[in-house]
Order: sequence, then structure tokens, then C-alpha cells
Amino acid sequence: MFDVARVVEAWPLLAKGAWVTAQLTVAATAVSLIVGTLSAMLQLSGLRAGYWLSRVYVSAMRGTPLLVQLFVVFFGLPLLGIRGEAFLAAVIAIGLNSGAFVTEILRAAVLNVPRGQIEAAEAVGMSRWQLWRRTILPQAFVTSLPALTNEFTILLKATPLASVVAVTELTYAGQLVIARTFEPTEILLTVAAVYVAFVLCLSQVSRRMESRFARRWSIQ
Amino acid sequence: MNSEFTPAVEVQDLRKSFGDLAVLRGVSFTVAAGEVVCVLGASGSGKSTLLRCVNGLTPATGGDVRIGGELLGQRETAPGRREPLPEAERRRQRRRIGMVFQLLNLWPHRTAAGNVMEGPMIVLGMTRKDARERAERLLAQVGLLDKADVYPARLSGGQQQRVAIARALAMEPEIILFDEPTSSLDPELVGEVLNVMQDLARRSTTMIVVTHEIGFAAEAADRIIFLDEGRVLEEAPPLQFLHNPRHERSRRFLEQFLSRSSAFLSSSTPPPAGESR
Repeated sequence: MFDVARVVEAWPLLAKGAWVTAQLTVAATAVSLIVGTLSAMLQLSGLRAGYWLSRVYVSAMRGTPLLVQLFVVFFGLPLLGIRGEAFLAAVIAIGLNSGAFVTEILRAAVLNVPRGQIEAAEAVGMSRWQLWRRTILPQAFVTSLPALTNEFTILLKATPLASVVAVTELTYAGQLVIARTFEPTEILLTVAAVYVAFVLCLSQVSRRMESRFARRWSIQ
Repeated sequence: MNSEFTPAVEVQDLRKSFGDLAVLRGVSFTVAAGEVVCVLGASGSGKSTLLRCVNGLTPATGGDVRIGGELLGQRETAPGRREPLPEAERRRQRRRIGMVFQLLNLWPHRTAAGNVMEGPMIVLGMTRKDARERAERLLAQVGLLDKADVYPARLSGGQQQRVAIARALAMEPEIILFDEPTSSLDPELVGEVLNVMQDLARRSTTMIVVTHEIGFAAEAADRIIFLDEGRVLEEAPPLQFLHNPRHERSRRFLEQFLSRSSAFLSSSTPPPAGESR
């Protein structure tokens, strides 16, 4: 039967793990958004080199397992003189991986911004950068909110991979408890429940933003 | 340069081809400051392309456009030698030319006032407060001050187009180009937009208007340019053009237009006299 006492006893360690998972998710999401946005802009900038740089990045990230990417970053960082930074390696690897998918999501949304709105911006004399910042990106982010939310829930559930480079996130914390007690049921269920709670939080935030912007602007 | 004698717009032998398709085959005309010129012509005659070349959205294949005497998109390095202008210079030129489009092109993520403030704030570097003041003044001018904080999705097509006119005016351009501003509107919304344009014409705004609204052209235009197969076929004051066109093509164009409206008028039954208010 479900023994609450086991959860209570393990909670301090699990909570620490959950906190690491949350930090990892937020940091990797930020990396993913920044890199994904820049990569989508490069791809659609009309610059040949930019286009290819972005294509190669997306293909490399989509074409190889995240686990391999994580090892590459983890063992690559020391070559740059950065040692013992497992958390940083995980943020970079997971963020870069997700950024490739964000590139594709945003690319589709950018191409959906009506041509006439871009011409209207050009007609008032906006520069390329102003056009992106003021007209294209705000709309692209809002129209792709559901797809982005989906991508970041996937990112959240990829964070346990960080345990292979010894980042004590939620799942690894659970495993450490189980290795001591040999009683997996309560711990695993608790770990699963925390992930569900995180995902619900994410989708709540996304829903709020959607009703705040998308409905008022009536764009989809 | 003396602006009294320099035309606001001078188009010389303008040519534009898309691949093998020659859309403009040497168009020349001038527009004086304060003048309203309507461009008429059948669809495919090159009207929209002409406007897009005049404001530089579409690069011309040949010929010159001068705005207030300044060559558009190019500069003369030596007599007879030219080079394309850098992008920043082209943007600066574009600010002098306002454009109102055929389709409803407001930015949906900004309110009516936000759409009008955008250019002054972002491009001209005006403060939010000053831009807001200007937006309110212009929205009042087009009769939409009460809609300042409404998003375009909540505005009718006619209201959206009036905001678009205010947005063009906010840059204080030397000339405003209208590309069939009423042709994507429901018929009952056309009047309010034409009224705003007529008001602009009375305020001596320099305008080039591509339109199918012959009534507007007759009332507001100083001159009509009839475009046919990428050339200026006829250029005349509106009454002369409408009542006494010189060319067979323009006559047929007008006849077609008039027969279409009269066919509509004769098929609709007039209301019984007793019931009219």
C-alpha cells in the first residue's frame, strides 16, 4: 500500500531535486527561445550564409540523440577551460536541442504574418530590425504559443537526462532514495506527480498569455 | 531647390517588367504640390505596380522617380553615372511618401492609436506622449478618436482604412499614395473612407489615388491619368476625361463602367412614392 511516511522522509531530497529541475527547465527554455529566435531570423533574413548556418544547426540537433549532445557538451566544455559544470552543460545541451524545434515553430509562424503588414512597416520606413522587433516577432510568438508550450513541456521531461552527467534533478533524486530504501512505488509516484504539477503550471501560464494576447488581437 | 517650381512627384519613362511580362512600358507624368491625381485603368493596366514603384516598395526596371526633385533609390555620382542608394537612405526617402493599401493592413497587435503612433515613435524617434498627441489629433481628423484604444479586430473595414490613412498622415509625408483604398470594402463602408480622402484633398494634400471610384475621381481629382497596357493613354481634367475622352480605349472603359452601374440601377425597382419618407 501507499506509505505516506516514506514520501515524507524522502521529501527534503526530492524537493531539492524538484528545485534543480525547475531551474534547469527555466534556464534551458531561455536558451532555447533565444537561440531558436535568432536561428529563425537568420534562416529568413535572406542572407545565404545565415540560411545555411541555421539549416545545419537544425539538422544536427534534430538528427542526433539528446543524450549524445549532452555528452558532447559535457566533455567539450573542459576543452574551453570550463570544468565541473554539469548543470551548465545540461542547460546548454537541452537548450540548444530544443532551440532547433523552436526555430521550426517560429519559422512557420513568421511566414504566416501577412505580407501586407510587412509592406506597411516598410512604407513607414522601418528598418529590418525594427520590422522584426515591432511587427513580425510579437505576432509570431503569440500565434505559436500553443506549439511553443508543447515544446517546453517536452523540454521539461527531457531534463532527467541531465542525471547522466550527475546533475541531481528530480528523477535522479528519486533514484537515490530508492537505491537506499528499495521501495520504489511511493517515490516514483511522487516524482511523477511533481512533473504533472510542473506541466500544469506551464500550460496555465500559456493559457493566460493566450487569452491576454491572441484573443484580443484575434490572430491565430 | 524652389518647391514652388519643383513638382512633388516626377515620373519619367518608368518601366517595370516581371520576367517577360512588361507591366509598365514607359510611364511619365508629374504631380504638383497640393494636386490630387487619380489613376484609372482596367485591371492589369499597371496601376498598382505604378504606385509601388513610386514609393520604392517594388524596384523599377528602368526610368526615374523624383520626389520633391530628389531621385528615388539612386544617386548621381557624376553626370550620367549612378549608383543605388544604401538601404538607410532609401528608408529615409520612403518616410516622405505615405501609402494606404488596398487590403486592410493594420497591425493587429496594436490599437488604432498604437498603429498611428508606431511610425512617429519607432522611425522618427518621437516620445510616446508626443506620438499619442499626434495620433489623437489624426484619429479625430478621420472621425475615430473614440476608437483610439480599440484593436483592429473590433473595427469595421471602413474604420480600419481610416486608421490606415491616419497612420500614413502621422509620418507627415509630402505625398500620399492610395492603392484602391476602397476596393476591399463592403459597399456601404466605401463612403466614409472617400469622405476622409475628399477632406484631405480639400486640405491640399498631395495625393495619387488609384481607384475604381469614378465618382470620387470626378469630384476630388485635379487630373485623371488613364493607364492602358502600361502606358499613359490619356491625361486630362476629370470632367473633360469623363465626358469627352479622346481615345477609343478610354471611351470603352468608361462605357463599360457606366453600363455596369446603369444595368444595376434599371434592374432595381424604385420604392413606391407613397412609402418614401
